[in-house]
Amino acid sequence: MAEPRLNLAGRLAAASIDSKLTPLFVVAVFLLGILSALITPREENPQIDVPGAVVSWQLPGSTAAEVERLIVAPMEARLREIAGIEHSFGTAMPGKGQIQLQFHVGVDEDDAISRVRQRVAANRESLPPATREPTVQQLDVDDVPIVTVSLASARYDDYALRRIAERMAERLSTLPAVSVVDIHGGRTREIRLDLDPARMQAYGLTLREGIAVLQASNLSAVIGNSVQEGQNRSVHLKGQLRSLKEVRRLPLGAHDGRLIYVEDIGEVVDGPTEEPEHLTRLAFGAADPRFARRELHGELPSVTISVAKKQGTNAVVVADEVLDLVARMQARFVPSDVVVVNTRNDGEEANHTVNKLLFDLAIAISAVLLVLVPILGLRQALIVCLVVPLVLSLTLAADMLAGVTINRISLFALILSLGMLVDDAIVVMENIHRHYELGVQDRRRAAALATHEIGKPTTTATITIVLVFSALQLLTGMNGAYFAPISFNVAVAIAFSLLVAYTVVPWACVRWLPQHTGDAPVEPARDGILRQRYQWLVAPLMHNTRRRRWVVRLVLVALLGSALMPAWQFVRPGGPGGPVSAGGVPLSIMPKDDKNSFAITLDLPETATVERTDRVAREFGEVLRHHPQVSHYLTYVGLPGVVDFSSQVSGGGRRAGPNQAEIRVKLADESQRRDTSMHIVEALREATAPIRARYPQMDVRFMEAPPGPPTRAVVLANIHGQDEDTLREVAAAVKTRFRQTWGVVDVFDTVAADREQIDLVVDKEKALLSGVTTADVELTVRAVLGGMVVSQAHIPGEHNPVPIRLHVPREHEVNPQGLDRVTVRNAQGETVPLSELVRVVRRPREHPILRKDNERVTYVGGNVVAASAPAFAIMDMEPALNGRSVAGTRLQTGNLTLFDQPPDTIDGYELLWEGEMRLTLDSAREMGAINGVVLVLIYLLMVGIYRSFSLPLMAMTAIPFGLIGIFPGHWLLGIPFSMASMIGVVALAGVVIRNSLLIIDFVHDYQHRGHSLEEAVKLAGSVRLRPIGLTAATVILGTLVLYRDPMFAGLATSLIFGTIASTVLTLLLLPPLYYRMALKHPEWSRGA
Amino acid sequence: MTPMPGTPLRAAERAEWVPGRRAGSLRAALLGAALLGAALLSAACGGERAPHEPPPPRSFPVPTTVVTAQKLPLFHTGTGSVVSDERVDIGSRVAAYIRAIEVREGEQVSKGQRLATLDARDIEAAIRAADAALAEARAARDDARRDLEDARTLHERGAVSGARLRKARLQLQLASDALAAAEAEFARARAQRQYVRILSPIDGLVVARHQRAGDMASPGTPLLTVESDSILLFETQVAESTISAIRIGDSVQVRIDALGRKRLQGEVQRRVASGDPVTRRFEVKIRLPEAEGLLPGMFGRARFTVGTREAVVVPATAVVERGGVRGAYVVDENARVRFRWLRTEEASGQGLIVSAGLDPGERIVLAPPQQMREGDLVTAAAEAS
Repeated sequence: MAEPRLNLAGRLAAASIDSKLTPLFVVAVFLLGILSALITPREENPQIDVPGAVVSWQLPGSTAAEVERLIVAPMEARLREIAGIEHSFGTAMPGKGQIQLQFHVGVDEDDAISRVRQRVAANRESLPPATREPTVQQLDVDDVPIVTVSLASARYDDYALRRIAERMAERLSTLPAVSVVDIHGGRTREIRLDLDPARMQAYGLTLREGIAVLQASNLSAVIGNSVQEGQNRSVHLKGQLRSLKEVRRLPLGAHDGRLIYVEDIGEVVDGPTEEPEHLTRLAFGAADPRFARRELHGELPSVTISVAKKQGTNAVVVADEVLDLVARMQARFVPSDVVVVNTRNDGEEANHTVNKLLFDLAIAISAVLLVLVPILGLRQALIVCLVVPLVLSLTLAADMLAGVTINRISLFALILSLGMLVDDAIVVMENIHRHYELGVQDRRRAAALATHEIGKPTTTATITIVLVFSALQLLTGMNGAYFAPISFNVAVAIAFSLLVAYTVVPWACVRWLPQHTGDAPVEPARDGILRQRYQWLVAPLMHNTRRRRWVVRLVLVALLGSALMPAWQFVRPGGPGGPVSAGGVPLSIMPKDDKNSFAITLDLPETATVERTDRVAREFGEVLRHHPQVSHYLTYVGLPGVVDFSSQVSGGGRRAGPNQAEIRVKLADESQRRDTSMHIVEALREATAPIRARYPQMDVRFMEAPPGPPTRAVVLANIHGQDEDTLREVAAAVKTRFRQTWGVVDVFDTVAADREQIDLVVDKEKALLSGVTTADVELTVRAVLGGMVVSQAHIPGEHNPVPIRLHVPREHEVNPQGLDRVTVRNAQGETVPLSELVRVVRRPREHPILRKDNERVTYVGGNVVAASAPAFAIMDMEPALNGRSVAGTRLQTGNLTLFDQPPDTIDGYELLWEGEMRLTLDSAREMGAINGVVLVLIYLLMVGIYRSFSLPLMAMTAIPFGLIGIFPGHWLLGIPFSMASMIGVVALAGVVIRNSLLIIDFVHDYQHRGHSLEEAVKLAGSVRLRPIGLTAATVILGTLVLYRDPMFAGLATSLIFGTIASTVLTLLLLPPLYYRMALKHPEWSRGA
Repeated sequence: MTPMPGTPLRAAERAEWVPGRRAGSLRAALLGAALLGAALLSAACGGERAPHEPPPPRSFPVPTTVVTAQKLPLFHTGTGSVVSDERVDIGSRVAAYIRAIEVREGEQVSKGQRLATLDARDIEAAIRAADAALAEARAARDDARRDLEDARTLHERGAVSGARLRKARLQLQLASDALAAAEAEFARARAQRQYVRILSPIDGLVVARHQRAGDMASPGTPLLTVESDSILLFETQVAESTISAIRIGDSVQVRIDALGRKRLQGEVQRRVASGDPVTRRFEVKIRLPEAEGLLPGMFGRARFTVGTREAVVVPATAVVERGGVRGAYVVDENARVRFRWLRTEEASGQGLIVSAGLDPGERIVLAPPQQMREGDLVTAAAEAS
């Protein structure tokens, strides 16, 4: 046996077989793998950094239109000059304006925010002089709380609970990994001065004087130093109000020579407000044992502590630390009547998901091994058994170093790579095994030689797959950030599998594989039959042109039919808005996921009082509580719930107002319920229909956390136009159309309801004659109608200064019609009733003006039921809305193109579709581009290897063969075609090309060994039958476990059905096709 | 594949690339995998736990009432003070030092009661001087009379001339006139004496003492102020915009803070027809009924009815606090109670006015017991209205 010059693979094998480093490497890698599995931060989903900022300005007294013209519109244009801004959302309200900026994913957060600050500061001068100092708030993903703990009690009210929560929060914020600790709900301590305006009037005291005295008498300061008796003492002024009594006995003025104290003009109360503007409650549902306890039944007042973690810390560890501390505090000082409920634990969720996936991974590994043991034999399977964890350990270590967290996506990537990463090892091992069966003297040398032999095709095939998955890095936006771990992990795992196959596998083979000497192995009979049957099948195709053409035509028709399947779904008996017709594959870019929680948001018309909103929320609670799978829920009335990632992106964290409520529902754990959260949500939507029917003006949305990147709404219509009133009319028409569309639920709009506002117009002449200024009037009215914090008491033992709030209780409340009870004092010291200076005008309230990307906008949005998809809903509505004339204008629809269409209102009113549809189109565009890039790369690679332009085309026929399986596969399993399916299509290209590569390689090989072309082709096909089948089987079995996650079912379907179709067709058609073509291209066999 | 020089491999050898150990192994493997898959699927769907039962609702036999919207008067409230209808400033007629003031502020006085005494020495001296002058005049007259007697006798005797007699007669006449003048002067001096004692002209209350003993009382400066306490008025300022809604004779509820929650039923007595040009307010006087403890100067609020409005009113007992929120228990069609957050505005005569949270026609529990919870039952009890 002559000694060839070894290639890289062979040299690696030769070096590692004898090296003592190899076992050390194995041990070290295992340790590293365990270490990285333990310390790499765990997350449920990959963190998507969407840098964002909210800039707000105040221009007191201006109308919404003024704010838009003077501040929002010009500043939006200025801020959009900053590079990296994807969208801007402007809001102009009377007196204030706000712009939310959303940067492209991946833009450096600190850099982005500093540029925004700088831009805001630089344009400060160009704004009206009365504009107050703008505020810039950063929207940080790390501010999203990972743990929330709620306190609830039937005995204590929310004020008491809040005080307990404050103590707990203080402790929690001392934990090193904790960033922001917040308390949601509950009333705070305040010293309230319940003013009686009549008594003030009787004493001839005006508010302005009273407030001034109160503020001036509440002062403490360090004055200076005094040296006496040779000692230095500092001098302090002590005038602060330190107790309720001091506030009560604070003299405000004199009347008839008698002092008037604060307590003379109203009641002074220490405690919570009696007229809360918002409420938070917790209730246990039927899935929680506490539901059955009488004292905890129903909605209890509650307070929620939310904890966010610092960047780069491990959510699981932080959550455990927080909960441990909470448990200790609960034992120490929380009264036993207070229940402490862990209402959110992203750490545990992440840990749970990760552990579940690790289990899945183990199952997938055993499944693969189970196939390998009978086919390869026990020892060989054991070597693979060593390889798989080794490669996974290396990948985890790479994750740790590259900053990729252990999350759902990265673990799915590992499962996905499993079927592929064993291939290299099997190929190497088998070749070594073959050499040994031939009987060799030098086991070591034989192993190196065997590795050398298969080096080139294996390396090529591996590079192909690595290329394919690396190309996925080209995905941009949130999708890109979300799927990045797949690209990284699969590429890295496959690359490492090659390394391990060239080093550890030869080393292990030398030591563990049995030695056969002498006898040539007996060819198993079964194998022969299989081969004979295969040749019987293929041979006619090689020689009978008619038959071959028939088969080729059949395949082409199947290909066409399969490609038409996604189109077929749009042909529905009930119109595009009907259910999917038989044989159609629904399209859903992000299949919903089974989650343990969801939120319901209620938006009543803006005229609703907080009491009315509360009433509706209670009615919803009633339904929720008795649902057998609801564990508990938190109701937030008048204030937003604790923000999560999707609500932060969609702006849900700022939903505060008396007409808004949010219910966060926690379901029983997945393992303890039969229905998925999607089903429960649909059932609850049904169950709450009577409530929604009772309040037809209300918008209700069931918000399930999206399995992938969040959007503002699943189906979203951005209606752009110039005139506000016309926009409202158009929006109303669109909303009606939404409601009529089948499958569209949770329809909402951003049109504010008409409501009245009361203008107090100061009569300037009368005011002048009475000697009163408008500023006096403003202060007085503000204090009387709204109440105001006038000062703060510094009570010993209290952590925060207690606000002293001036307030007119409802009992004495001055409605704007009764302003004669409120007086202002003029310069002459006479009191003048406000009613004589002020005219009360009722008029419709101004609506806030919304803008997006520098154009006025109104949103109409909705969700779709599981049986439908955004695309169908839009297909249904699109023809009805496009070109429709509403309110005298023609509406044009758009943004159904591959590239995002910016708003353009030059030609009138425009409706741009957004939401998941945009995401779908963006994905389709990018995936299409990536597919193209991948195909070109594979082609180029093979041109380089085979030195032929036509041969690679022949090899690449395996890819369209795969497509034949994909859509029927989705249809068969009833799985919607999703983003993950598209990734599966790309991955498939890498997997199936390997089959044709190996067949072609063997044909060449046999030809070189003197077989005729015909014989070589026949032999190659039949010899490759089993290894190709084995590769397909490992891919299929490794991927099967992905079906446990709805999100990745599409990927699994694409891969499994694509592999099956491609494998069968490649084996059947490639050899005959190659034979026919090779006759015309004799250079093919020479070239390589 | 690269041809490998020096590795002559036979096709047959290559054929055993995959060494099958057992026949049908592929099928067995697939079967195993299928079984595994089935096991996986069953593991994925864990058993569902039975839902917990809610605690059985308790029943409370409590009265309920149906909430109705009521027509309520729309009020305007004005603040002011109680004043007296009769008010006398008492001064001195004479200029004299004040010897003593015998009453204090707030003292009840009756008509004719002595309030103060002035220093009387000047007056006594004047009386004595007048007395002396009177005696002198009387003596002069007596002398003139005797002179006339003498002159008449002498004239009869012819000892003196007629002119002399006539002169004596004139002298007597002059002396008599002087006596009359002295008598009048004496009476005048004595009359001064009554102004030294200052008496109360009315029944009432001393509300102010302007001077003290030793001060010089002079005509025109008041010493004391006495107010009648039998007829009291409530004086308030009403803004220009409301004055047109107020008519004389209107019934007005007046609440005096010092008398607690008690309301007095007054009547508009006077509307001062001229307003203040600066403060834009008009004075309105309300006649108050007699009431125990009502005193002039007390602070109060008058509630004028200026219109009507519709509002939901609930009994004050129906509104309870639960978990820091005030509300009522609403009974649904299944006799179950639900807590409802209410915004109550102010107390009217019959109960609390609800400005948000309840609709007319809903049924509420009149006086919910402390243990009542969401979802409890109300058994039929007598309906209160």
